[in-house]
Amino acid sequence: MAGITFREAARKRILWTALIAGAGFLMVFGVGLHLQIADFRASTPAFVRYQILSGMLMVGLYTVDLLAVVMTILTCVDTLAGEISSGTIQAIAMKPMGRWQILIGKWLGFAGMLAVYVTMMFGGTIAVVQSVAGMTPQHPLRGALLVFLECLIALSVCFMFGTWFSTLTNGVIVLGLHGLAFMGGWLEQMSGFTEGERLSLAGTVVSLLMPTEAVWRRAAFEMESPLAGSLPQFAIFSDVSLPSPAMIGYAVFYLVIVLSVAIYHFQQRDL
Amino acid sequence: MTTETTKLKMKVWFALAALGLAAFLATTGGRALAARWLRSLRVQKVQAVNVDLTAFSDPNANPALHQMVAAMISDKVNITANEKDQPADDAAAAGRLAGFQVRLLKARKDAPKLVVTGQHAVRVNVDRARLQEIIKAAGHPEIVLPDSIEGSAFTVQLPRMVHARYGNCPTPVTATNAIASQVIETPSSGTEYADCIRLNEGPSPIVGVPAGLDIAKLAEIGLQVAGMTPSQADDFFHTVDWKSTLTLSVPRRLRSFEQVKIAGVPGTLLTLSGRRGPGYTLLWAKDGITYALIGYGDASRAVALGDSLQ
Repeated sequence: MAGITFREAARKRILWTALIAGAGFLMVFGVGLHLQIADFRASTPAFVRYQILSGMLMVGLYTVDLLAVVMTILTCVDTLAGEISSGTIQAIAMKPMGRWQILIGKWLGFAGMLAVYVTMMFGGTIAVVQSVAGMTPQHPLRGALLVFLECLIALSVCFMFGTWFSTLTNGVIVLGLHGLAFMGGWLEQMSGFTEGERLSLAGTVVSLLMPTEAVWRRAAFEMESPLAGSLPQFAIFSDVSLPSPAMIGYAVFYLVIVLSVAIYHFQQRDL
Repeated sequence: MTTETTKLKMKVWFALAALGLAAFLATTGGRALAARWLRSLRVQKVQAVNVDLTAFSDPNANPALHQMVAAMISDKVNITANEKDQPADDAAAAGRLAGFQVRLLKARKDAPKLVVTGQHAVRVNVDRARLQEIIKAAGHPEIVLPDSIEGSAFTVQLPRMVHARYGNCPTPVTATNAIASQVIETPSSGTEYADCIRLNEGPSPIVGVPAGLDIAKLAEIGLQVAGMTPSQADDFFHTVDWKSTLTLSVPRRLRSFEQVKIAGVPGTLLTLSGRRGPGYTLLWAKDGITYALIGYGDASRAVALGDSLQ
């Protein structure tokens, strides 16, 4: 089922169009980076250059992260919901395999596709920065794995709601939840200005509902230069209200629970 | 029928779980546990030493240099001393509290408001990889830190200091109104705080540096972060004892930088270009005491004011 899903995605040109869009992004990013370097004055201190380029790298990686999550939602939103409403799921369910195998197979297929996408986009962004500016992020593998985890969470939530709702409703819910997480993450970031505990707490509570943005902020912390983290005036994602390893543990737990609920409800519901 | 029963059972279980959670959170212990769990989901940061911002900062200021340096060395700063500040009625009382002879501006006829800041101390264990990365980022890839400094202690003791405030000065800066002023960009009237002078005086901090760690270089990086060019930062350290700069909150918008003679010793006059903050900062050290004169008025009067110290 995983293989079929992967091939189907290729047949529908999902993967290819996503990669072409990604290539466009990398081209624009590379040109922007090149122009930025060309605009540096001779008097610009080395560390200011480093921080500007480091900031641009983080913006590039954040764009990749947003693209990856939105691609995840857009591609998976129709999978179960659409197949259930159109009735094509019945043809698949006739095969000698459990419903949980169908769901997990599809999930693995999408996970594989996302792994390819994240690897290529992340690798591409880092390669562009390395070739144009000669710098690399701190701990890129940790960062990429965390972004992949974020995509898997969005994928699982998409699968779970897909067993309940129609394609459109599913899309609205999952994008809405990600928007909520996005807002929660920035609320926490803003809490650093006033050291407001309540604002930070509000962001933390929101991250329990949808931990995607919290996972990104941990990824950003892992990849950002320590100078940026310690001197907030230079940091785009300063380490204010930084998600702990326990939060990443919670995100993994959340993923498992959401996927389990998806499997359970898919098995229980009428097709 | 079976499916309907299962669905009903599920709903009952959900309702029971929600009720149980609500009952748990209704108790004090439950709320405390929930708060502890929520806190565990974020990295608990040890705050940098709680230096009184009102005396050091203005809307144009960076964090104090020692805070910047400590943050470069490690992301965990341990506070080992953090005394409270105390007001003083006059120079003699301030001197008794601070432990040195306090000198004030004779050129000012109005009585200053005096505060003796408490003693503060921090200890930071060196994170070599972090520091190496920062040094590289600062444009010094040739500097390789020895492995032996990993985990070694860097300590800063900030002795008691005296802050004298003359005239009509801006409201003490809080994190909130500093941010608000940054966002709103309200220009000051120019004359509103023209008579405001702040004089900070005290012994240089006592700094414990592990062998192989060039703290002066880090302080220089801090000055560059604050807005100085590399050559300005280098010149700055040739005129001012770098330890004495650790207590300074370096201004963000530096217009010019010049070396001056003050009370018979070399000093450094920083002219600032921020629209909201002070106009100048004059720094010098004499007889083991470091002085910082911060004014909102005309910078050309700074040296004469400093010379009037007694």
